Amino acid sequence: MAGRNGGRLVRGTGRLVQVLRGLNGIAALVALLALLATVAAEPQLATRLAAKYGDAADLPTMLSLLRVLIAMILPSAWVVERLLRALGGIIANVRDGAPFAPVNADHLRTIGWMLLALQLLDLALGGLTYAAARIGVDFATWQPSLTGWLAALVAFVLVRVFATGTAMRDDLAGTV
Amino acid sequence: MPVRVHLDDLLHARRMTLTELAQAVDITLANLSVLKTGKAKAIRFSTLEAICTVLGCQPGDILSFEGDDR
Repeated sequence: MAGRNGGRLVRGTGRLVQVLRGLNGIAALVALLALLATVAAEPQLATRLAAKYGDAADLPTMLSLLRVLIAMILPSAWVVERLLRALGGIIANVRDGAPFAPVNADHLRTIGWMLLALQLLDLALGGLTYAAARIGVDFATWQPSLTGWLAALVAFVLVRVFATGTAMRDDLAGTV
Repeated sequence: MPVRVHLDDLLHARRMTLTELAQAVDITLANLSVLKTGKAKAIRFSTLEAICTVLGCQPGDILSFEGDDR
């Protein structure tokens, strides 16, 4: 019963990863188009910003801030793609009945680095939030994510657990 | 490999096949074959005990260590 539920969970997660990879790709494409649009439609954008924040507003800085914010989506999308691809690799191995394959430790290590990269990007977002507040732009609030840092640490610890588990399994494979 | 497995000799002395031993000790033929050909990385005490019981021998009759002569 648990095995059947586990199999369903793995299959479901595999499908979810595929969907998320698709959505992530779309998000990257939209970000790229939006970035190009901020260049192509700069006069209109400046007019809208001036209408909202007044003529005294630092429009060039606001536009730069907007572009950096949109541009940040591109490396984030790359990081998320690598993370999801590694997760997909693990899921495929689990589905094939080989969860303790050495390659899964590599996948897990990639996930750890990508979680760390996401945290660094989050810190950069925090910096942008601070910069936006300084020039008086309406912006979302930001708080450091402790769980994100912990998740990265947990992933790296699990890499060690996994590597040891794989070695033990190899030993067991030759035990009669 | 310095540790040698003498299962072949013991089976030959007792006019027994590997398949018969596998059935008697309830271990798969594939696993016993791995042990016989010296490809096993480790042997469980329970396996050793079962083989010794069926073949009427000591663990030392099955395994021997051949170190370098210095």
